Amino acid sequence: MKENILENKLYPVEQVADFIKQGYLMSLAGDERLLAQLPEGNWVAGTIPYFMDKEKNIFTQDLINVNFLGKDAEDFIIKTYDADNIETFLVDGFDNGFTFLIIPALTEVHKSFAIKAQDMENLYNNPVVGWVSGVDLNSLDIPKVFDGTKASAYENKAVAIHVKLPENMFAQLEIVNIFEQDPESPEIRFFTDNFDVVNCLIDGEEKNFAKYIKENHIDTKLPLVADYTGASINVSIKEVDDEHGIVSFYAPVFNDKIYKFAKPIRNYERAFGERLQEYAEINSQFACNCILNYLYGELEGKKTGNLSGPITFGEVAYQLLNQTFVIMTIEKL
Amino acid sequence: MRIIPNPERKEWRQLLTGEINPKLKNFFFQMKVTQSRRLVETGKKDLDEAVKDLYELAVKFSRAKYMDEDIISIFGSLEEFKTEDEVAVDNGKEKHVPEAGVQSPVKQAKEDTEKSELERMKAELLEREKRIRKKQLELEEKLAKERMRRMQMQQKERMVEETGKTDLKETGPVDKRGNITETGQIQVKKPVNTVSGGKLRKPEQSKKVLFSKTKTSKELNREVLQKKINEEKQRLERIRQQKSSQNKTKKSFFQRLFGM
Repeated sequence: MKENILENKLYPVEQVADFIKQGYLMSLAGDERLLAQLPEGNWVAGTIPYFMDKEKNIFTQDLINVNFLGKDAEDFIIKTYDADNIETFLVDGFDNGFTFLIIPALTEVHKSFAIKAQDMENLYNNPVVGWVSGVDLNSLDIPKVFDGTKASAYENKAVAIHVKLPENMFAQLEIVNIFEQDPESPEIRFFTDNFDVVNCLIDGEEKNFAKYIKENHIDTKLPLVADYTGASINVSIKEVDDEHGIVSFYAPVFNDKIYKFAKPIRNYERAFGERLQEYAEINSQFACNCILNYLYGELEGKKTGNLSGPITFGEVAYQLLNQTFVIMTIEKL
Repeated sequence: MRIIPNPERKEWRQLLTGEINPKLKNFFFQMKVTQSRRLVETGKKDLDEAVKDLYELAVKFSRAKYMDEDIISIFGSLEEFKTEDEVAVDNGKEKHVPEAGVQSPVKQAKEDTEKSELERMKAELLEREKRIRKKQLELEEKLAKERMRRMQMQQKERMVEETGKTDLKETGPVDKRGNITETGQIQVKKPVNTVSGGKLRKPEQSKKVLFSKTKTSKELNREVLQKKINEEKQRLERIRQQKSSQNKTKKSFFQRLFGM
């Protein structure tokens, strides 16, 4: 494994292949056709053609985003997990370090991780960071992840790098969420931990959620927001099917949380610009933003901070998040 | 490494039982506290064990961003948790390094006085801790009695519901939004004919409100909630079957993603 001296950004496929041959430990993001050309090595990857770069947010199928993860690493393990054993991924982690995880969107392992994560023992012993892979939204492609040690692609497995850090360092995870609970919103509670919902309790009264959304003209581009002891955690609405009376989400809602609709955002670019100011000078190990912010905020060609990384179909910061910017840094004690 | 208040401090327990509810700022801490509360509330983890885990992780990440502020918001002050080095810096001097050789008698006397003062303070603190512990035990005992009383009331109410009687005099006040009492019970109201503007109105069906804005999930009537959960699962299953029989054609990821 080679020490990191390079910048996290977009690179041509030939250069990425070169990095692999030199032994760099990397997480990659790019179009499936590019990733499939790469040789075996110390890397993991997920498919996506949407990126934030230092200059602007772009769509490209010609470049690969590279995050160098080996700078401070003492050791690492690369491993894949499926829906049946995803809850065991923490066992493979080191005492001090972090786990980097890529999960293919809308798969069993995606659902399984999302539902099980919040009850996993030891989930918070070290940062768990990562993202959900996706595809060009106008294509018939399928989201995949790659285990670089075998140069193999998977549609139904998550891939992880467990990184060991020296005793005098620790990984730190932060989120930037431009959404907050709307104080005018009713309180919403759900009966089950699920990606799909039929009925729920709105201010204590049982109602069909799809019907409620239609009747009250709720803007479904705004996520539901729950308060996690001070952290605003989003769940984004995927679909409101009023024919069947069912609402689907991009992450599960949990029955022990109280949700509210988010306050509307007028200008996503400005909102991110303001919130990301404090991260302008940081040397992040990894950063990612959500495809829904990119789409709903019309962020293509616009700048959202100085950080580089994939624009994803879901973000992982210990658990699955939606419409959230995630940043990981390595700090010295 | 910064000293984190020891796990015996009552604030740790209060934090995990929701007795205190500070707005935390460190992301790891926010998420860990939320998870620990859930595990304790659902009985998947013992409170003492949860406190121990949380304390150990707080020590591990004591230098993380916002941890100082979070410790202050829970324990009130950071002053007593400063490390020796930090105290020295605050006092405008470097960390005390013992001199080699024999100490002067004045210095020795000063140190002796300081030591005995420290001993006295230590004894006082121990005494205080004992008193607090005693108080805590008393409160826990009280709480246990209260729980027992509520369980008995719930049993009584269930019996009343099963036998069809609706006289529930012993339940607490009714929420103004619906019918939940202080104990989280759904109260069965006897329909009453009411007179409004000289006309006799039909008795209103009593509306069952499962959650009020002020109630937590543990206050719910578990039986009713379980019934609702099963109903929701059945509804979802039915709709999924309907939808899967309709969705036979191949769709793009975009269409699948946005349900088109």
